[in-house]
Amino acid sequence: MSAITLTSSDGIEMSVDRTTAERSVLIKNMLDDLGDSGDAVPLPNVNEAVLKKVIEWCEHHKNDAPSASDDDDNRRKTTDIDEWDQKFMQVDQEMLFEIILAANYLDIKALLDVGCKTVANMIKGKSPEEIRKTFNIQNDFTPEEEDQIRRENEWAEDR
Amino acid sequence: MEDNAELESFRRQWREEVTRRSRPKTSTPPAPTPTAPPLSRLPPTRHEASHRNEVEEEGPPLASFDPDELAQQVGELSVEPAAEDFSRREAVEPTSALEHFERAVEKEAEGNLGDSLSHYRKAYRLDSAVDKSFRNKHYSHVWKRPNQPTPAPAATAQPQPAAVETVPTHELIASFANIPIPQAEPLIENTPPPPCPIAAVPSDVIVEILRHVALDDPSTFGRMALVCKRLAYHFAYEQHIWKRVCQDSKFGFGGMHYDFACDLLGLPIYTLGPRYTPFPKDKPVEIPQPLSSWSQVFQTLPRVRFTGVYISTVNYTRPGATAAYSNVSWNSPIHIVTYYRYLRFYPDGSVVSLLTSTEPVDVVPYISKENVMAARTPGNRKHQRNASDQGQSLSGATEPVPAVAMAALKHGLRGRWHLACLVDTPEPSDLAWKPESGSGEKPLLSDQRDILIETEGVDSRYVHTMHLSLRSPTIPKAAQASPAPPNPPKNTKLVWKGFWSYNRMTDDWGEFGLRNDRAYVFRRVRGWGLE
Amino acid sequence: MSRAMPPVPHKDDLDSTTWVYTRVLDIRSPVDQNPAHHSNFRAVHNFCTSQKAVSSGQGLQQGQRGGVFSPPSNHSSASRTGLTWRQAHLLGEELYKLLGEYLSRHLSDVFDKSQTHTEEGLLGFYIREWERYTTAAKYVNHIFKYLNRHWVKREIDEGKKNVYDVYTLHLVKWKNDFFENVHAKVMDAVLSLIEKQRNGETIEQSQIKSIVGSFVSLGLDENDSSKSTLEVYRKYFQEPFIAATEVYYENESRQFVAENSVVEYMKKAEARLDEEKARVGLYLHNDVTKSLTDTCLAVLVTAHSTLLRDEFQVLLDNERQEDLARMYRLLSRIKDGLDPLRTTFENHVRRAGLAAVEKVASDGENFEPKLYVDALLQVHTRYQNLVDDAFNGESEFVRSLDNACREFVNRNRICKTSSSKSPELLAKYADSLLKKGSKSAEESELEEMLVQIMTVFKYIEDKDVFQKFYSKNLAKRLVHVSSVSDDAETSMISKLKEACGFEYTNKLQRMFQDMQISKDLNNNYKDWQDKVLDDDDRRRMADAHFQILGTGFWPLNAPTTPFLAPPEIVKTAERFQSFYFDKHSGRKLTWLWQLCKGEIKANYIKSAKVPYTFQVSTYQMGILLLFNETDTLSYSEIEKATTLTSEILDPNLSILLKAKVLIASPENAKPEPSTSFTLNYNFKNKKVKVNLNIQIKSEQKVEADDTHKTIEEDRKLLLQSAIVRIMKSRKKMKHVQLVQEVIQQVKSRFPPKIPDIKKNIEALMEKDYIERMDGDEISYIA
Repeated sequence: MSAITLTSSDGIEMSVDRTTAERSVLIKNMLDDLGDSGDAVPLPNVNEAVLKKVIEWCEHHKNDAPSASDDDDNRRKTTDIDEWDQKFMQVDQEMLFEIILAANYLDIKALLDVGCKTVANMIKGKSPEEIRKTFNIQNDFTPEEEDQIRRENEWAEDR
Repeated sequence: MEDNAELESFRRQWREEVTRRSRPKTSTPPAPTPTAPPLSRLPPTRHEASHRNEVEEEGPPLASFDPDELAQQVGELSVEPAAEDFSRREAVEPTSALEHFERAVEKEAEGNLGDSLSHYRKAYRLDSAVDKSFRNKHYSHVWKRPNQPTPAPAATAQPQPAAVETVPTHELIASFANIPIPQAEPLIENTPPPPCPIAAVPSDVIVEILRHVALDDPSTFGRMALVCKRLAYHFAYEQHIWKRVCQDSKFGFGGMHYDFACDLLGLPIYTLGPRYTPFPKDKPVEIPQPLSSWSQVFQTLPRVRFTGVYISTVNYTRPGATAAYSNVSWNSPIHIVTYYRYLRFYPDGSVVSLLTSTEPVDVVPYISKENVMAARTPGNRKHQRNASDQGQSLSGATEPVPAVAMAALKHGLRGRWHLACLVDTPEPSDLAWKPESGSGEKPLLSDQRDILIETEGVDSRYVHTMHLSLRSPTIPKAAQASPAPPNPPKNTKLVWKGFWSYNRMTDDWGEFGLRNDRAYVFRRVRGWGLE
Repeated sequence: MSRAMPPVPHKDDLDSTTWVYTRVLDIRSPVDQNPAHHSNFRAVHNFCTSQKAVSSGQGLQQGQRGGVFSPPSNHSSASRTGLTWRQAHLLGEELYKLLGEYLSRHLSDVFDKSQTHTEEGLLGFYIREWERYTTAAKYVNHIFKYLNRHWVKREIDEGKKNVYDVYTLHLVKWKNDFFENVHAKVMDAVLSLIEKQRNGETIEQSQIKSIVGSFVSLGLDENDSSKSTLEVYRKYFQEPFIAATEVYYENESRQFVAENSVVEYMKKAEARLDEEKARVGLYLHNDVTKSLTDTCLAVLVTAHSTLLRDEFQVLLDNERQEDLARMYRLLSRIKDGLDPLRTTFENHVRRAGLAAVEKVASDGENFEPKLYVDALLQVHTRYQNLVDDAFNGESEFVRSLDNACREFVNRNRICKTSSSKSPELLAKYADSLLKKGSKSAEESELEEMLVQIMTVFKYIEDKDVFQKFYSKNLAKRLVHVSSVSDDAETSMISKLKEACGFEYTNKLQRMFQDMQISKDLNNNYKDWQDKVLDDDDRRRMADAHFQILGTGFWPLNAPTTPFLAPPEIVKTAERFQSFYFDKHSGRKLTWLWQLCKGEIKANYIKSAKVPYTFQVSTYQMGILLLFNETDTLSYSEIEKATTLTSEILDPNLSILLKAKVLIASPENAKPEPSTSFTLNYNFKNKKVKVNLNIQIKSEQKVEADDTHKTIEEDRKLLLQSAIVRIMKSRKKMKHVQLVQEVIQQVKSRFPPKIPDIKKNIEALMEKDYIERMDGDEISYIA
């Protein structure tokens, strides 16, 4: 089993199993296109801490069957996250979003899904103000605008 | 009193009540009237209810004071924006005139006319101008902006001129397109602001997150829209999310049944052919005419809700002790009787129907197939709130179902439901949206908003057939004209079209009278339908 | 990382995106782009997610934005201001648009360069550029994966038209910006290359194969870009190719036909068809096969089909089997190509058959049946072989052959006198084969000849005539024990049964049964005799063998003459009769003297050491035994003693005279009342056994006439029974229908004549089986 080297944005090199690294479609395409030259693969968008997390996840999931399609059938249990992943995602919000961004960049769909689900779970059942508090978002509506939007979107409340 | 339309309508209502009770009344809870046995297993004729004037049906059950609007206003009072938890949180008896008035409005919104009336009486007795104070308290923002401190505008937000109020909503939302998610300001000036990593997330990923949120619960998605401008924009413009929601079976049309999917007891019916679904996932789908977006599809097309209960509140008057008098006079006592019909739908095509005088607050959280079966089993008093709703139990622990609920649930009936097909019926003359005439030859479900429910009868010999139709709350004309009209959920009411019982032994159809019956109104219940 | 990374451009630097494209597309070999690959992807990713920069407080200033998207070419200022309000995900749109624009520029470059190339040079250029472009597209697609994953996916999800994943975008651009401008020139080059090859030059086929591949790749399904169609290929390659093919072969074939024979032309056409078929496999798309073949056939075969057909008769006359086969192969591939040939073929075979019969008949009436049958068979075999070998045994030609054969078997010169001549001759031929003493030696050979008889039999229309003659002959063979072998007889009967059914051979089989029963009976009789007779009786008995033949099954008649059998025979016969009636009381036995025969020993001839044995008929025996009493008898004495009529007596006496067993006086007198007959004591013969039992000519003739007469009678009965059978089941029927039905029922036996049927219907009406109703209807009377 061959290993490849990844370089994080802060210049740290990490050696990873090729199958593990190929959970990332980006890396896989790159290796397929260019061949494994033995050179380190630079990942200038991911810092060491995040890259470590991502590799940890890939390592754990390296034998997963490739996700069949991006359809919603597996999304049906949208809040279902397996236990290991739940634990894995118990990180501070900044790290959580960093992982999501890295997954998005590296094209690791399953990890991106887990990350997004985790965020979705944080939102679930909350009022707008609670959501703002959770993510430190400023309310940029004027009261009139807020009222207008509330009326417009009232139908979605599904009462 | 000049500007007091609500009160005026209340008074008019009161007078109507009085006039009505002068008419002889015999109606009690409906009893089947036998009719000629039909040949088929379908109800013999259109029910008289289906001849009722649509307008009357669409109109508010009590007065021009739109109960839905009122309910909405009441809803705004509470911190809870969405699901009602149907708990007795207002145990404190009102004391002041205003409190009584508020309670009266609330009861009226619930449809409990008897209680509402007594609270109104008390309120006016204490303060004849109580309606004025009520309006000042709750509706002041309609005519004057409150003087509360406005949150600091976002970095890029332009100062809003007063005229902005008239900007049509879609233009307003479109203008949010490019606005970033604003970070909260530092709690203490000149300190670093709290971290807001979500602000750095590209919209591709935001949209991914929103998709998960929407599929989990569209109403959360709706609340996301109120968080900030950027999210409001996504809510309106990510139509592919709405398309998925429509195709999904949790809230969307993937979960609707257009033919019975199970038997009366909830056991699934298996078929070899694929069941009809309007927006299959494996085929290209089109937005049905004349709609123009998937969010409209979700909003407009007939859809049964699984996240709550449908409640029909029925009031009728019964003469008091002096019933012997042929002419009821002003001061003869009358009883206002209130009872409730409840329907809880399940995505598997089953339904629970309950007729009881137990108030919603006492029974609604416990309505489920499991509890109905448990309540029917004698001697077993230790019941869970509900296996499937357990996780959402308020206290978090498993609570026993109160005895009052169990007593009511004993009369719960299991059943099954399906909607009329969305596609055109073979005979174009029977297309939907047509006022119904007296002809009895038409197929029963001639309107695509129609829903057919079959439940158990009082004993195993009988099957009850309920023919209902989905309707939307009416928006007052005045409100419609405003630049930002209210846009309440559609198809949340179920109006009656017919109600029969069928005797399996004798192949007889009996028709229930529906003189007092009122439309069902949907109420979301916390935790239902959300796994 | 040994190689230096090129500087990753700033995420908001427009040049980066431009740079991405140029780097990728200008690179000849993919390996060279190694250092660029990842940074390119990152540039795309960062660009698409650059909203991050906006939110992180760097602001979204007009100036910077303008810098980002400083339009590479004639980018309108309108779209530039548009950039200021665009939302985050419009970044994707921008990038997509810029990529498209870049590709357009690149392709317009390529187009400019292509102008300097022509013919094969152009093909080479096109292929080089295509391969470069698609290779780059694959990499660019990977680099723009992020765009595919998010922006493109969403656009397609929301049903936007004209948005494709990046690879497909490359193809679309190639098609619209380059292909549309050059396809005509490219195709001209391709077609001239193919023409060269058709003219016999060697060409570089792989070039065309590459072009085909490119054209096929460009076919995109408008509704689903992940699917491909052959539309582009069909329109831009196939259509001109087919048109060119048509013109080419039109000219070639016209010229060739003018200068060469039809036979040569057929060879040429066949070779060309094979060649074009091979061409598809070599470098064309399989999709073209059908239209290419159709076109070639239309031009090479259909257009010249009249010419080919005109040659058919010539080829038949000259028996050019190989050329006939070639013509068949060519014409069988076009619609209705063979029909005219079949008619010609049928007529030809019929003429050949009639000519063969003519030759047989030219030597007068007295030819051997074998000669006739052989003539028929020869013609059939010759053309059967032709059908099998040249016409692939095709069923329609087989039918034509059958029609022709039926025609000349039933209606030829020999049949002119009587339509039943053919079956009669065939039956006689069969008899000659199955009778002892025929020339055919080997049993296998015999079987083969029987099969041949069946071949002719199949075409015979009057099958009942054959049956009549055959059963007569069979009866004789059985009675006279003259069959060549039982196996051969059985084989023939089972063949007939197979051809015509059980009913047809029923009587024949019963005849065999009677023979077997008779054998057993004789054995029983012998046992009985052993028990009953004393030595004295036995001495006076003639040793006899008896055959009991069922009257209904055997086509035999009672003797035409009275006959007073010699007492020895009478005694023997009476004894057997008493035995037989003992066993089967109530039956009637009629002695068929004319068929009986025996042997007598001539002990009176002193010159012979061993006495001569005469094989004689019973009639002859009756005559000769008279001479036991006296040496000379007058005609009238003989006539009186035997009671034979003169028709029988005279020929038999003639035989005896001719064999010199008797001597007539006066010398050489014919057997007539004035003649007297003396036993010849000086009889001499080489053989000890002398066969005097010779069939008399006149008898044969009479027999044949009789047979024909019974055929007419039988046909009448057959028709009547068919009518009754039909009416019994139908009860009521129109006259016309009834006639049709009758024809259906009896035609396997003989072709009935309609007046005969009508006559028989009338006859049945008279007999009150059926009656005429109103409106031409006939009803059955129960």
